[in-house]
Amino acid sequence: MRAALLGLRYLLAIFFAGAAVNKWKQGYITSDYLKSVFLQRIEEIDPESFGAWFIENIGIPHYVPLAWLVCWGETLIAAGLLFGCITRGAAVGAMAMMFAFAIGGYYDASLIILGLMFLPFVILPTGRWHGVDKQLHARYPQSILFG
Amino acid sequence: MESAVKKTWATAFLALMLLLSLGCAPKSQPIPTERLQIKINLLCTTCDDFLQCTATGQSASAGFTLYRLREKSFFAQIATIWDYLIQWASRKTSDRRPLTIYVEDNGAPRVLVSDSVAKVDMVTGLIMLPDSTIDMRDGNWIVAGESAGQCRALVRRDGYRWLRSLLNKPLPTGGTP
Repeated sequence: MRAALLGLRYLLAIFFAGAAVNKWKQGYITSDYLKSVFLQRIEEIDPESFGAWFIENIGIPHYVPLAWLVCWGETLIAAGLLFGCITRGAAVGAMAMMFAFAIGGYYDASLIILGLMFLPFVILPTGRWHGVDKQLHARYPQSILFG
Repeated sequence: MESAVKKTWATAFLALMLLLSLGCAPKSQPIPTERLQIKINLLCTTCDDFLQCTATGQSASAGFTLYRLREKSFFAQIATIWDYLIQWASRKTSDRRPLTIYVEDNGAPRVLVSDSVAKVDMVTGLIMLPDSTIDMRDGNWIVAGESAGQCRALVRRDGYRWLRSLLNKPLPTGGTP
Protein backbone atom coordinates (compact mmCIF):
# COMPACT_ATOMS: atom_id res chain seq x y z
CA MET A 1 0.00 0.00 0.00
CA ARG A 2 2.76 2.42 0.97
CA ALA A 3 4.75 1.56 -2.13
CA ALA A 4 1.71 2.14 -4.35
CA LEU A 5 1.01 5.51 -2.75
CA LEU A 6 4.63 6.58 -3.04
CA GLY A 7 4.61 5.46 -6.67
CA LEU A 8 1.53 7.58 -7.29
CA ARG A 9 3.18 10.54 -5.55
CA TYR A 10 6.24 10.33 -7.78
CA LEU A 11 4.05 9.94 -10.84
CA LEU A 12 2.09 13.07 -9.94
CA ALA A 13 5.35 14.87 -9.18
CA ILE A 14 6.59 14.05 -12.69
CA PHE A 15 3.27 15.20 -14.12
CA PHE A 16 3.63 18.57 -12.36
CA ALA A 17 7.33 18.80 -13.21
CA GLY A 18 6.51 18.28 -16.89
CA ALA A 19 3.85 20.99 -16.76
CA ALA A 20 6.28 23.36 -15.01
CA VAL A 21 9.12 22.69 -17.47
CA ASN A 22 6.76 23.42 -20.36
CA LYS A 23 5.78 26.75 -18.85
CA TRP A 24 9.38 27.80 -18.21
CA LYS A 25 10.24 26.83 -21.80
CA GLN A 26 7.27 28.83 -23.12
CA GLY A 27 8.50 31.88 -21.23
CA TYR A 28 5.33 32.23 -19.19
CA ILE A 29 6.72 34.85 -16.84
CA THR A 30 8.87 36.72 -19.33
CA SER A 31 6.34 37.12 -22.14
CA ASP A 32 2.63 37.68 -22.75
CA TYR A 33 2.17 34.00 -23.61
CA LEU A 34 -0.43 33.46 -20.88
CA LYS A 35 -2.45 36.42 -22.16
CA SER A 36 -2.59 34.84 -25.63
CA VAL A 37 -3.64 31.54 -24.00
CA PHE A 38 -6.49 33.36 -22.22
CA LEU A 39 -7.52 35.25 -25.37
CA GLN A 40 -7.71 31.97 -27.24
CA ARG A 41 -9.55 30.18 -24.45
CA ILE A 42 -12.23 32.83 -24.01
CA GLU A 43 -13.40 32.16 -27.58
CA GLU A 44 -13.91 28.50 -26.70
CA ILE A 45 -16.12 28.82 -23.62
CA ASP A 46 -19.64 29.91 -22.84
CA PRO A 47 -19.63 33.73 -22.67
CA GLU A 48 -22.15 33.53 -19.81
CA SER A 49 -20.02 31.20 -17.68
CA PHE A 50 -18.01 32.16 -14.61
CA GLY A 51 -14.88 30.98 -16.42
CA ALA A 52 -15.43 33.56 -19.17
CA TRP A 53 -16.02 36.28 -16.58
CA PHE A 54 -12.86 35.24 -14.73
CA ILE A 55 -10.69 35.25 -17.85
CA GLU A 56 -12.05 38.59 -19.02
CA ASN A 57 -11.90 40.43 -15.69
CA ILE A 58 -9.07 38.72 -13.81
CA GLY A 59 -7.07 36.53 -16.18
CA ILE A 60 -6.35 38.91 -19.04
CA PRO A 61 -5.83 42.12 -17.02
CA HIS A 62 -3.66 40.36 -14.42
CA TYR A 63 -1.90 37.77 -16.51
CA VAL A 64 1.57 38.69 -15.21
CA PRO A 65 1.03 37.79 -11.51
CA LEU A 66 -1.04 34.77 -12.57
CA ALA A 67 1.81 33.55 -14.80
CA TRP A 68 4.21 33.85 -11.83
CA LEU A 69 1.74 32.00 -9.61
CA VAL A 70 1.23 29.14 -12.06
CA CYS A 71 4.89 28.80 -13.03
CA TRP A 72 6.34 28.91 -9.52
CA GLY A 73 3.34 27.05 -8.05
CA GLU A 74 3.78 24.10 -10.37
CA THR A 75 7.55 24.09 -9.84
CA LEU A 76 7.29 24.10 -6.05
CA ILE A 77 4.50 21.51 -6.00
CA ALA A 78 6.58 19.23 -8.24
CA ALA A 79 9.62 19.65 -5.97
CA GLY A 80 7.56 19.12 -2.81
CA LEU A 81 6.04 15.88 -4.09
CA LEU A 82 9.28 14.62 -5.60
CA PHE A 83 11.51 15.21 -2.58
CA GLY A 84 8.80 14.68 0.03
CA CYS A 85 9.37 18.18 1.37
CA ILE A 86 6.35 19.94 2.94
CA THR A 87 4.50 17.15 1.15
CA ARG A 88 1.08 17.79 2.61
CA GLY A 89 1.39 21.47 1.71
CA ALA A 90 2.41 20.57 -1.84
CA ALA A 91 -0.60 18.28 -2.15
CA VAL A 92 -2.95 20.99 -0.83
CA GLY A 93 -1.36 23.38 -3.34
CA ALA A 94 -1.92 20.90 -6.16
CA MET A 95 -5.58 20.47 -5.23
CA ALA A 96 -6.04 24.23 -4.98
CA MET A 97 -4.43 24.64 -8.39
CA MET A 98 -6.73 22.04 -9.98
CA PHE A 99 -9.70 23.82 -8.41
CA ALA A 100 -8.45 27.21 -9.65
CA PHE A 101 -7.99 25.86 -13.19
CA ALA A 102 -11.50 24.40 -13.10
CA ILE A 103 -13.23 27.60 -12.05
CA GLY A 104 -10.93 29.72 -14.18
CA GLY A 105 -12.31 28.57 -17.50
CA TYR A 106 -10.65 25.18 -17.89
CA TYR A 107 -13.34 23.04 -16.30
CA ASP A 108 -13.38 19.39 -17.20
CA ALA A 109 -14.76 16.46 -15.20
CA SER A 110 -11.33 14.80 -15.26
CA LEU A 111 -9.96 17.67 -13.15
CA ILE A 112 -12.14 16.44 -10.27
CA ILE A 113 -10.53 13.00 -10.43
CA LEU A 114 -7.08 14.50 -10.86
CA GLY A 115 -7.66 16.80 -7.88
CA LEU A 116 -8.85 13.92 -5.70
CA MET A 117 -5.72 11.93 -6.53
CA PHE A 118 -3.76 14.33 -4.31
CA LEU A 119 -6.02 13.75 -1.30
CA PRO A 120 -4.07 10.76 0.12
CA PHE A 121 -0.95 12.95 0.31
CA VAL A 122 -2.86 15.54 2.34
CA ILE A 123 -4.24 12.91 4.72
CA LEU A 124 -1.26 10.57 5.09
CA PRO A 125 2.31 11.49 6.13
CA THR A 126 3.89 10.18 2.92
CA GLY A 127 6.73 12.72 3.20
CA ARG A 128 7.79 11.01 6.42
CA TRP A 129 7.60 7.58 4.79
CA HIS A 130 10.02 8.63 2.11
CA GLY A 131 11.29 12.14 1.81
CA VAL A 132 12.97 15.11 3.42
CA ASP A 133 10.01 15.53 5.78
CA LYS A 134 11.34 12.59 7.79
CA GLN A 135 14.48 14.49 8.87
CA LEU A 136 12.68 17.82 9.14
CA HIS A 137 9.94 16.33 11.31
CA ALA A 138 12.59 14.80 13.59
CA ARG A 139 14.22 18.21 13.96
CA TYR A 140 10.96 20.23 14.22
CA PRO A 141 8.37 17.82 15.68
CA GLN A 142 5.96 20.64 16.52
CA SER A 143 5.83 22.05 13.00
CA ILE A 144 2.74 21.21 10.98
CA LEU A 145 4.68 21.76 7.75
CA PHE A 146 6.57 18.48 7.99
CA GLY A 147 3.88 16.39 9.69
CA MET B 1 -26.37 -23.39 8.56
CA GLU B 2 -24.49 -24.94 5.64
CA SER B 3 -27.55 -24.84 3.40
CA ALA B 4 -28.11 -21.18 4.26
CA VAL B 5 -24.55 -20.37 3.16
CA LYS B 6 -25.07 -22.37 -0.04
CA LYS B 7 -28.33 -20.52 -0.68
CA THR B 8 -26.61 -17.17 -0.21
CA TRP B 9 -23.82 -18.13 -2.62
CA ALA B 10 -26.33 -19.40 -5.16
CA THR B 11 -28.31 -16.15 -4.95
CA ALA B 12 -25.14 -14.07 -5.32
CA PHE B 13 -24.06 -16.19 -8.30
CA LEU B 14 -27.44 -15.78 -9.99
CA ALA B 15 -27.42 -12.03 -9.37
CA LEU B 16 -23.93 -11.81 -10.88
CA MET B 17 -25.00 -13.84 -13.92
CA LEU B 18 -28.02 -11.58 -14.35
CA LEU B 19 -25.87 -8.46 -14.17
CA LEU B 20 -23.38 -9.91 -16.64
CA SER B 21 -26.12 -10.95 -19.05
CA LEU B 22 -27.59 -7.44 -18.87
CA GLY B 23 -24.18 -5.93 -19.57
CA CYS B 24 -23.40 -8.33 -22.40
CA ALA B 25 -26.88 -8.48 -23.93
CA PRO B 26 -26.77 -7.55 -27.61
CA LYS B 27 -27.87 -3.95 -27.92
CA SER B 28 -28.60 -1.95 -31.02
CA GLN B 29 -25.35 -0.59 -32.36
CA PRO B 30 -24.83 3.14 -32.81
CA ILE B 31 -24.22 4.48 -36.31
CA PRO B 32 -20.45 4.88 -36.86
CA THR B 33 -19.50 8.54 -36.50
CA GLU B 34 -17.81 8.60 -39.92
CA ARG B 35 -21.23 8.06 -41.45
CA LEU B 36 -22.70 11.06 -39.65
CA GLN B 37 -22.70 14.55 -41.05
CA ILE B 38 -23.51 15.97 -37.60
CA LYS B 39 -21.34 14.44 -34.89
CA ILE B 40 -22.32 14.63 -31.22
CA ASN B 41 -20.04 13.15 -28.58
CA LEU B 42 -22.34 11.55 -26.00
CA LEU B 43 -19.56 11.30 -23.44
CA CYS B 44 -18.62 14.96 -23.64
CA THR B 45 -20.83 16.57 -21.04
CA THR B 46 -18.90 19.83 -20.96
CA CYS B 47 -19.48 20.33 -24.69
CA ASP B 48 -21.80 22.91 -26.16
CA ASP B 49 -23.05 21.89 -29.60
CA PHE B 50 -24.51 24.46 -31.98
CA LEU B 51 -26.72 23.22 -34.82
CA GLN B 52 -27.68 25.81 -37.39
CA CYS B 53 -30.80 24.95 -39.39
CA THR B 54 -31.83 26.85 -42.48
CA ALA B 55 -35.19 26.48 -44.21
CA THR B 56 -35.26 25.10 -47.75
CA GLY B 57 -34.71 27.83 -50.31
CA GLN B 58 -33.42 30.27 -47.73
CA SER B 59 -29.82 31.30 -47.15
CA ALA B 60 -28.34 31.43 -43.65
CA SER B 61 -27.79 35.17 -44.05
CA ALA B 62 -31.55 35.66 -44.39
CA GLY B 63 -32.35 33.71 -41.26
CA PHE B 64 -31.90 30.47 -39.39
CA THR B 65 -32.76 28.57 -36.25
CA LEU B 66 -29.90 27.75 -33.92
CA TYR B 67 -30.24 24.77 -31.59
CA ARG B 68 -27.77 24.86 -28.76
CA LEU B 69 -27.27 21.54 -26.99
CA ARG B 70 -25.84 22.88 -23.79
CA GLU B 71 -23.34 21.34 -21.41
CA LYS B 72 -24.82 19.20 -18.68
CA SER B 73 -25.08 19.93 -14.97
CA PHE B 74 -22.18 19.34 -12.58
CA PHE B 75 -23.63 16.09 -11.23
CA ALA B 76 -24.43 14.81 -14.72
CA GLN B 77 -20.79 15.39 -15.58
CA ILE B 78 -19.72 13.35 -12.57
CA ALA B 79 -22.05 10.57 -13.74
CA THR B 80 -20.30 10.58 -17.11
CA ILE B 81 -17.19 9.20 -15.44
CA TRP B 82 -19.25 6.05 -14.86
CA ASP B 83 -20.28 6.01 -18.54
CA TYR B 84 -16.60 6.12 -19.48
CA LEU B 85 -15.73 3.28 -17.13
CA ILE B 86 -18.42 0.88 -18.32
CA GLN B 87 -18.37 1.73 -22.02
CA TRP B 88 -16.55 -1.55 -22.83
CA ALA B 89 -19.50 -3.47 -21.37
CA SER B 90 -22.39 -1.15 -22.05
CA ARG B 91 -21.89 1.56 -24.63
CA LYS B 92 -23.97 4.68 -24.28
CA THR B 93 -26.17 5.18 -27.33
CA SER B 94 -28.50 7.99 -26.33
CA ASP B 95 -28.49 11.07 -24.21
CA ARG B 96 -30.66 13.97 -23.11
CA ARG B 97 -29.12 17.40 -23.26
CA PRO B 98 -30.34 20.79 -22.01
CA LEU B 99 -31.42 22.86 -25.00
CA THR B 100 -31.78 26.51 -25.91
CA ILE B 101 -33.28 27.58 -29.23
CA TYR B 102 -32.32 30.84 -30.89
CA VAL B 103 -33.51 32.36 -34.13
CA GLU B 104 -32.05 35.00 -36.39
CA ASP B 105 -34.34 36.85 -38.77
CA ASN B 106 -32.66 39.27 -41.19
CA GLY B 107 -29.74 39.81 -38.86
CA ALA B 108 -31.84 40.19 -35.70
CA PRO B 109 -30.97 37.43 -33.19
CA ARG B 110 -33.27 36.42 -30.32
CA VAL B 111 -33.95 33.59 -27.90
CA LEU B 112 -36.92 31.48 -28.94
CA VAL B 113 -36.93 28.86 -26.16
CA SER B 114 -34.55 29.36 -23.26
CA ASP B 115 -34.84 26.02 -21.51
CA SER B 116 -35.84 22.72 -23.05
CA VAL B 117 -34.47 19.23 -23.70
CA ALA B 118 -32.98 17.54 -26.77
CA LYS B 119 -32.75 13.76 -27.08
CA VAL B 120 -29.80 12.43 -29.05
CA ASP B 121 -30.14 8.87 -30.35
CA MET B 122 -27.03 7.43 -31.97
CA VAL B 123 -28.83 4.22 -33.04
CA THR B 124 -31.42 5.97 -35.20
CA GLY B 125 -29.11 8.91 -35.87
CA LEU B 126 -31.78 11.40 -34.84
CA ILE B 127 -31.85 14.39 -32.55
CA MET B 128 -35.35 14.88 -31.20
CA LEU B 129 -36.14 18.51 -30.48
CA PRO B 130 -39.35 20.04 -29.11
CA ASP B 131 -40.31 21.51 -32.49
CA SER B 132 -38.48 19.30 -34.98
CA THR B 133 -36.05 16.45 -35.60
CA ILE B 134 -32.56 16.55 -37.07
CA ASP B 135 -31.16 13.58 -38.94
CA MET B 136 -27.49 13.41 -38.06
CA ARG B 137 -26.73 11.22 -41.11
CA ASP B 138 -27.48 13.89 -43.70
CA GLY B 139 -28.35 17.01 -41.70
CA ASN B 140 -31.98 16.87 -42.80
CA TRP B 141 -34.22 19.16 -40.72
CA ILE B 142 -37.60 17.51 -40.27
CA VAL B 143 -40.57 19.57 -39.10
CA ALA B 144 -43.96 17.87 -38.67
CA GLY B 145 -42.66 14.78 -40.46
CA GLU B 146 -41.52 16.63 -43.56
CA SER B 147 -38.16 17.91 -44.65
CA ALA B 148 -38.03 21.61 -43.88
CA GLY B 149 -34.41 22.39 -44.59
CA GLN B 150 -30.84 21.55 -43.78
CA CYS B 151 -28.82 21.66 -40.57
CA ARG B 152 -25.10 21.83 -39.96
CA ALA B 153 -22.97 21.77 -36.85
CA LEU B 154 -21.22 25.05 -36.20
CA VAL B 155 -17.65 25.11 -34.96
CA ARG B 156 -18.08 25.76 -31.23
CA ARG B 157 -16.01 28.91 -31.44
CA ASP B 158 -18.38 30.29 -34.13
CA GLY B 159 -21.37 29.38 -32.01
CA TYR B 160 -20.01 31.32 -29.07
CA ARG B 161 -19.12 34.23 -31.34
CA TRP B 162 -22.74 34.33 -32.51
CA LEU B 163 -23.91 34.10 -28.89
CA ARG B 164 -21.66 37.01 -27.95
CA SER B 165 -23.28 39.12 -30.66
CA LEU B 166 -26.68 38.23 -29.21
CA LEU B 167 -25.55 39.13 -25.69
CA ASN B 168 -23.75 42.22 -26.98
CA LYS B 169 -20.57 41.00 -25.31
CA PRO B 170 -17.66 41.53 -27.70
CA LEU B 171 -14.53 39.47 -27.20
CA PRO B 172 -11.83 41.22 -25.16
CA THR B 173 -8.99 42.51 -27.27
CA GLY B 174 -6.30 42.10 -24.63
CA GLY B 175 -5.66 45.78 -24.14
CA THR B 176 -5.38 47.45 -20.74
CA PRO B 177 -8.83 47.44 -19.04
